[in-house]
Amino acid sequence: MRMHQYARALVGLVLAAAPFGCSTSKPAVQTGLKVTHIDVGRSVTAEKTIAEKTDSFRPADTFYVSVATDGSGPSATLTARWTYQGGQVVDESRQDIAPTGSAAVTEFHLSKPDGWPTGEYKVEVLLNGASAGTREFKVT
Amino acid sequence: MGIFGDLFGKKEKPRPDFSNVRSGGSSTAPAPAGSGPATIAPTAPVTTGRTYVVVAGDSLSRIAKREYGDAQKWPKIYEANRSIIKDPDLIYPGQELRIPEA
Repeated sequence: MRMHQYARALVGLVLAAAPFGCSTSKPAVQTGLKVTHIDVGRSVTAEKTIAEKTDSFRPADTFYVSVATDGSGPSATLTARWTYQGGQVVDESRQDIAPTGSAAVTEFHLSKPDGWPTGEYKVEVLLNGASAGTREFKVT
Repeated sequence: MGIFGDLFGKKEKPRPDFSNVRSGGSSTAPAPAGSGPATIAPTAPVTTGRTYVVVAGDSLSRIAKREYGDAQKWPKIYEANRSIIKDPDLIYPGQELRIPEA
């Protein structure tokens, strides 16, 4: 009878420990990459940073968003999702990057040959599908 | 929505057409191995200045006026972009021009 109690206790211990064993065997998916800056403006430098920051554009302007990242990873996807007046999707662009450790900067740009409608716009930047920040601006 | 719009005195605004929007991008980070042609150009020569995407109605002098405050400086932009501008009177929406420092 006492043997049965020991056996039951042993089974209980093994079952209780099992989830911890499983969780430590999962491969790491974190790349250590993070978005450190998001800027919006009318033009970019050769280093992909914004040359002229603004949140107020004219209809003939090109929108630029510059995304600074820090960290490294074999592959990461940056997405810029542009929306108009709180919801209408204007465009969604993606770039796959493999940052090597030092700070990297990625720019997205958007133009409309016949001019932008006036109103409120928003660009949301996503890193591997997760929102990393938004910037709002307007066209007047 | 029409009924509710009428009831509440709202008028629906037509949704703008964004089908002709042109997008692009580039990065200082390299592309992942085996990802094929990407929108980024890690091997592009590093240059000073800015980039500008041509929109309808632009001309080199108009861009020069806007970038430098002087339309007469258009040859500076032309010279910096000789590889993509064959005729300075003909630039096209979507062309990405390098704008040298003033």
